Amino acid sequence: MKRALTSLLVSAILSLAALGAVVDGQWSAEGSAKTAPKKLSIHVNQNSLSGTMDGMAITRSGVDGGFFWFYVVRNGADFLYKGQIKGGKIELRESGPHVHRTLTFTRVQ
Amino acid sequence: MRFQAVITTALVVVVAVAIPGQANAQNPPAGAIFDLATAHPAAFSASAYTQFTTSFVASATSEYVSFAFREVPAYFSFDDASVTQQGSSTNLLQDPGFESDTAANVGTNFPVGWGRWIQPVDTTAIGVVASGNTGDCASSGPHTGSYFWCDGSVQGYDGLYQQFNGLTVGATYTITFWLTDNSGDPMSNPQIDMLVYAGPALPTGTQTIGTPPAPILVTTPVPGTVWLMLLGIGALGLYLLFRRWNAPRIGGIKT
Repeated sequence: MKRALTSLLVSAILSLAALGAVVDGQWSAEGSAKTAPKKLSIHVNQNSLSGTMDGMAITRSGVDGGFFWFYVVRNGADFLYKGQIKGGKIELRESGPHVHRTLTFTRVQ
Repeated sequence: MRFQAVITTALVVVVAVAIPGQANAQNPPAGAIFDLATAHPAAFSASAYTQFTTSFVASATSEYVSFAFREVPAYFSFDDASVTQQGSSTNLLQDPGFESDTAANVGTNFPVGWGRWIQPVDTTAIGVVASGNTGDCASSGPHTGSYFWCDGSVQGYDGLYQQFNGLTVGATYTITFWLTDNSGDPMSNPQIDMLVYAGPALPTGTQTIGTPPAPILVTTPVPGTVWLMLLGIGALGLYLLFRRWNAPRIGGIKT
């Protein structure tokens, strides 16, 4: 009983902290697409995010379960990014005017 | 005993802290007649559409049928829907496959013939008309034809709907549609889910956007027995006409 309760508590605490701990930090884009964003700095604040993408501030954002999303204004247009952690990397779906692609970011050591 | 009390208290604290963290988890409106996360909990293959079926019994002569979407990490593709009265094959939906749309309204939130609603929290990233293998739903494309609905609503649920007038109270109506998802993740309410609603009003807590299309006036399908009766009456009429035409004439006048 003791062991079950302890493991329940530990897993609850871990899952609480999980997304923030995993996502927070500096990230760098894989690949060399010219128009793709290169650098991502991100911080989870409970149910929203703060940070920058190539120096441009995140405007609106949300965190929901293991997923997060945010907007950045790039070249004067609103771009939506939908993200999640997969295999220790951030997989981001980028959606903007005439741009719809999936980007991968690795943590900057 | 004391240990259990301490652990239980700690769990309560953890849950209390966790709940505000989930404040963005926008639950769907109540009263759905179909929940994808229950019907198909597994992940989809983006290029393979699956057909789903549900039904409702009309409780009023005027009802709304809505298809609602929320997809935080990716996008749903929706196409070729139908609403039919049991015993009839007539699809009551207007433009069920989005083929009345044009290149001009691709990327807009307003498909021809459909109404739109959103949850008030849902102010961005609502669904759009899509075409071919382009845009956020490029990996699926349409199920058939050229156009379809691509929905990756992130903040709340948004819905497509049509209103029907002239339904038969007590009659069963079958709803079908084709759907796929390109997240590669299992369905989960409320983050990745699609729901169907049917009822005399739009789902509670939603607000319409744009100009709602005119309700569709449903004409009750004529049952087979009535068609047979009409055919019999027609045949009898023809027979009587034939008899009259061939009747013997007296003084050149037909009797």
